[in-house]
Amino acid sequence: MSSEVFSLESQDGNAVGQSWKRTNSESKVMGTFRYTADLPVPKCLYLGVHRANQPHARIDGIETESAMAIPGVVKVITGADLYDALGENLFTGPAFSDQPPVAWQRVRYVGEPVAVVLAEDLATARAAADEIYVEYEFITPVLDVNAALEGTDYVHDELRPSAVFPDLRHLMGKRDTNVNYEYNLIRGDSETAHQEAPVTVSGEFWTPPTSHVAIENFSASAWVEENRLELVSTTQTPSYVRQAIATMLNLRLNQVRVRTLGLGGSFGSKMYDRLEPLVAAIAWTQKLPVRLELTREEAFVLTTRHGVAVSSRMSADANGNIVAATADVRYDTGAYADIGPRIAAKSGMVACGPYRIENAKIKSRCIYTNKPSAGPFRGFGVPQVTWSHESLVDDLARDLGEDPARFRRRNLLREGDVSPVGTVMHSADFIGCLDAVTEAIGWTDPLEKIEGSWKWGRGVAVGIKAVLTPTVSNAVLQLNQDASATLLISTVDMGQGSDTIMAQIVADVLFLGPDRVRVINPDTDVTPYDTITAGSRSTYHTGNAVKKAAETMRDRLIEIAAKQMGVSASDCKLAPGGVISSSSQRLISLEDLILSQFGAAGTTMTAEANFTTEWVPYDRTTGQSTKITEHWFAGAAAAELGVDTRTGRIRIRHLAVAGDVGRAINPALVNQQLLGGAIMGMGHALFDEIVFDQGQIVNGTLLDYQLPSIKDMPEKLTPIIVENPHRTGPFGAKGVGETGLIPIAPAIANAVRDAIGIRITTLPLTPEKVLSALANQGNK
Amino acid sequence: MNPRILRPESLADACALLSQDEDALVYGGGTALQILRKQGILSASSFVDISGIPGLNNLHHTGNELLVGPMVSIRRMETDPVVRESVPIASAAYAKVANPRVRNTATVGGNIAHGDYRLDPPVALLVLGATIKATSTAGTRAIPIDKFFIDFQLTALNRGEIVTSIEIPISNDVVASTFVKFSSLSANDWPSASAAAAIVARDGEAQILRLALGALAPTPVMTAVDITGMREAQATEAAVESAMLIMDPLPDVRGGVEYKRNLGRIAVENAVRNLWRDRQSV
Amino acid sequence: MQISSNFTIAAQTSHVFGTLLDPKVMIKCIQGCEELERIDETHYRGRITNEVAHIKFNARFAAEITELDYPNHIRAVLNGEDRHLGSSIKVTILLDLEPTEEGSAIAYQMEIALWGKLGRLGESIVRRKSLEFERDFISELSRACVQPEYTPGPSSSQQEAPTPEPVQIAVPPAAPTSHPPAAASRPIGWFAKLLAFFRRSR
Ligand SMILES: Cc1cc2nc3c(=O)[nH]c(=O)nc-3n(C[C@H](O)[C@H](O)[C@H](O)COP(=O)(O)OP(=O)(O)OC[C@H]3O[C@@H](n4cnc5c(N)ncnc54)[C@H](O)[C@@H]3O)c2cc1C
Repeated sequence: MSSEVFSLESQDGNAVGQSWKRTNSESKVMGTFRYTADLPVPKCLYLGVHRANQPHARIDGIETESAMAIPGVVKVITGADLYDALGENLFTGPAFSDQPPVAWQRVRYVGEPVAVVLAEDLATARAAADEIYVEYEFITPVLDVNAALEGTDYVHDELRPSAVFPDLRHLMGKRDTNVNYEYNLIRGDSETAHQEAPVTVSGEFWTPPTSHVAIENFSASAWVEENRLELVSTTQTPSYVRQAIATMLNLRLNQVRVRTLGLGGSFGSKMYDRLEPLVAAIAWTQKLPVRLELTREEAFVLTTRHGVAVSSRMSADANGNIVAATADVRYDTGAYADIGPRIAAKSGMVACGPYRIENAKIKSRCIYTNKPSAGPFRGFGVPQVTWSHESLVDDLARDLGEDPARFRRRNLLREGDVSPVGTVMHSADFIGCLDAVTEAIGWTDPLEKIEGSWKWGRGVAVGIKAVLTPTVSNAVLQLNQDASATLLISTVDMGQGSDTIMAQIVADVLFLGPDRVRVINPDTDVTPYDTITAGSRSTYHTGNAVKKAAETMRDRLIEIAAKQMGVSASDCKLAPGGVISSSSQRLISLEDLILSQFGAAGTTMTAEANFTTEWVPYDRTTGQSTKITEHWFAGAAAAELGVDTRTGRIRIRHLAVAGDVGRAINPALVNQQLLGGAIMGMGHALFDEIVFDQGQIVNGTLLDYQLPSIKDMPEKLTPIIVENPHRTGPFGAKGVGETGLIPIAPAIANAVRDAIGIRITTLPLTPEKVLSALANQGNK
Repeated sequence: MNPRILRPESLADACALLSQDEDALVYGGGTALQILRKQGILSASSFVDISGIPGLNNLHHTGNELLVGPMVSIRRMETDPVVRESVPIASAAYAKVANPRVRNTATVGGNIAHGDYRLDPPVALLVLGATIKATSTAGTRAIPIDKFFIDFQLTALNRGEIVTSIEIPISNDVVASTFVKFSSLSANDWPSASAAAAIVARDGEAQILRLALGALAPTPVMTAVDITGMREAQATEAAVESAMLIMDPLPDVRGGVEYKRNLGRIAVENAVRNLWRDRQSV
Repeated sequence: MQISSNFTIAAQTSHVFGTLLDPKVMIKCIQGCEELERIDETHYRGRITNEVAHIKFNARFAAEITELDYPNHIRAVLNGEDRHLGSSIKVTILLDLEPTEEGSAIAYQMEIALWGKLGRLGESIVRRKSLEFERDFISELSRACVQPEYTPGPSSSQQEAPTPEPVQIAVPPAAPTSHPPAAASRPIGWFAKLLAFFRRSR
């Protein structure tokens, strides 16, 4: 890891800090952009998936005759067929090996694949899937986290943590529980501190499960070629998928090739094991080329965001200092753990918020229920706990009669402070973000609070998140003889603009202009390992690897040039146009330099670099770590809004959102990330919600599942970039993909509280909820 | 399995196709049918697409009536100046349907035949007293709109009948009219409550307030109140009282019964306020 | 989804109780029920069809009486499945009967779970349909209990399901070929009163 001190005065070209236009923006606008599903593949059989209509049941028999009788149907595959071929390897998952691609012996949620039809065309495959009939024996389902904790029905007979993680080993084979992971943070003595504190607030908070609804839907194709498995899939984790599939099928890594093109959005939905284990298992065991495309309705049951219950308390002393915080966090992870256990730990740990708190206690659990599996979703479980701590902090301030922004300002973590998890803070400017958003909406300006049936208010919230640590990134940079470059990384551009930013980093180091750097789409045969494209980690991690590779290239160019010019390397530097010798003032262009080095046109030079982060694993009992994370994300949001007390409808007049991004490599893209996050967060605050009835999603179509439309936008939306350079970030940069989302819902709820004097603790803040809160208030 | 698509070129052929197959459905714009088909729950053997039949997308102003062909798009009802001028609440209600993409594709005939209790346009058509013409091999009959919606997702159309026109009376007696829609989730969503209202003059002084509600009962519903000589507050009270009697909302993800009744009440209050404002400014 | 309500029937509790267990009567009370057969003291099976908004539902079901306390209490669990629509339904029914001056007061609670494609249709359709079921059920049950020709047969009888007679008074189901006249869609006479009563009592 590089430890050189960063300086804002970049020595290099001036690509960084410029709002280069996005790679592929024209083709995306013109509709000619090729998404993953457009990548040509061999002629495949289409898969139609028959799904469970029981939340929890034993499979007693599967009738496939009438499906097989349909012309064009080639085969029907069940979980038992796959189990016979693959045994226990059938079960996969990033933390627990608990999920079969097709249910085996037992179904655990409504919508789980039970049998798969292989047919000549898509329509036949889907029609035939409807003709399959399954005999079930009902098992009492576990429908929510409370039932999961209190009841005696279990989603899994025993826990099956993935064998590769030492920290999960103690859970292997554990029975009679729905809790697959529990993280505990203990600092100081929170019980005593709560008791002694003059002011304590508490709440029962709930954030419902939501759906990612990426506009591009899921697809995957797999086929066998020369004893190798080829996979083309909408995934944001190609390196992970290669590893998972190789393990499942007992193949060497070089026998599995995973490719993806740019994605049309993902937000965490296209991560880890989605369609890939299913298509890979069928393609490999049947030696047939197969393709699966989901319908929008199927996408709703593929993965969701965790519904989370938080019971929490916060206390302050008479001087307005937060002295204690307690939180019991329950993540509803559905039928399969997915990455839930990691979310419960790495997000549960910030459940007290970004505050100086000496006495803190957090219990964060990941809990199985008979619902579709919940996985990562922009924010990785943090928005759900932020909903709790930012509501409590607001109540605490108001109970003390203090301005909620000022109260936060006093208590927020500062550079060099030790956070409740035991790690020293660096480059996380909460106060800068808080000040920026409150100033933007005119926090201290007078506000007309009542206009007819409308009541107006303002609210603010901050957010903290740790970047996933430890992780690994690699970059391979190829400089072509004509001074163009080809960058090989496994970061997936899903609309966030990583291809543009990585190109800017290379261009900055090597003085190349826009369009000179081409970023290759992830292809595990070609592009090197990268942990995941997620958790806002790419700009920092892959960006660092890319920068290192470019710097290695720069140093080699200088070395070669020095040799060619007969001067010492320290006499040379890279400049616009080529390498220049300061003593002779001679300039060699890169084209000439490489040409004379190899004596041929069209030759290439290659440099590669790795960037790996490390952490200190947290203590099993106290959750404390001196280095829990490589770096922190800091953000804040402020809202000014009106509540119509007749209809309960909320109208946002101004929403400001700020994120400390270290350094904005591309300010336009950073602003777009902040805005996109804020809009998504607004949906979560106001109406996004997957509604379950007895384990069935009742609004699992885009008719009934509501996303913000253009008409729901705030009258004014202001993104603000805060730059507090990180000492080891590439040019000081950090990621920003999630920062804009995290504080939005509590900022809006705090403004509602300001407007009507009511604290609502369950999301979303639908008009009905607002009205019934007003009615209850009236009754009191 | 997917329904077959049939494309008759005359009304008689379409009627014949429908009479031969009990599971055939008329296909208008397909915005409702395609959703059911894609969800795999539609029971239909074939779609009889009537877009190729000449004359079904005509819009005709006769002086005292607007004759609307079933294949006229919802978007046209929203934007056509003739519709806007002659029956402004109808135009306003069509303008509130879904989003421009749906409005460009969906048809007037398909909209009313869909029979959903939350549809916006029928509420305006109720207030205006429209008549629906339906044709089958048995001939053509006229169905007054207040007899059209029978029960939840059930209209007076018989199997095999095609809506061939909607006749909207244009009356000089309409003093003021308004359409109010509330959705509870995103702004483009189906309504959770809607109200269309008009003040109609009768025999000189007498004034009747015609009021129809959408999304507030298993079908669109309608009531009328004599508001002769009333002031705004009295008329509002009378309208609300009458409206509350015909509300029977269904609870769903968009809200419970009490919430919807409340929203319905506010829709009516707002409607009367709009009417009074418009009446003053005449 | 939970649905609960109560209504009164002008007949003795023991009589109502017996009627509730008689498949010959129940087949007429349950809208769209096309087959109903009693397998033993506590098990029934049958088939039910219905249509709403161009969706035809055709489900086989099995019902089990899990609690029986003559003549006051029944708990039954019904499991049904429409193969074609890939949907299943589970209904848990609690019925409590109590003698009153007018006859019997019946309180019921149903918990309905609808899983699969139909479950996605959302609550409004199910609620609306169950309201119709409820309406028909009460009207038919009243008729069966009050009118002599409906006197239930011997309770041990196992018989082929008879085709239900067309019902004159009740709301016509959404039958594909019927042309429901508007007037008949509203209940009339004593039934309307009954309905009004039961609506009030909620
Ligand atoms: C996303 C979305 C949002 C929506 N939001 C709203 C809203 O806010 N407000 C609102 O009012 N509506 C809303 N709708 C419903 C929309 O208005 C209807 O889908 C549309 O009007 C149906 O018209 P169509 O021509 O597409 O009908 P189709 O889908 O073609 O047909 C609908 C039904 O009518 C029958 N039919 C069609 N034409 C005829 C005819 N000429 N004669 C007899 N029967 C016929 C068909 O057999 C079918 O049963 C929404 C729809 C969508 C998809």
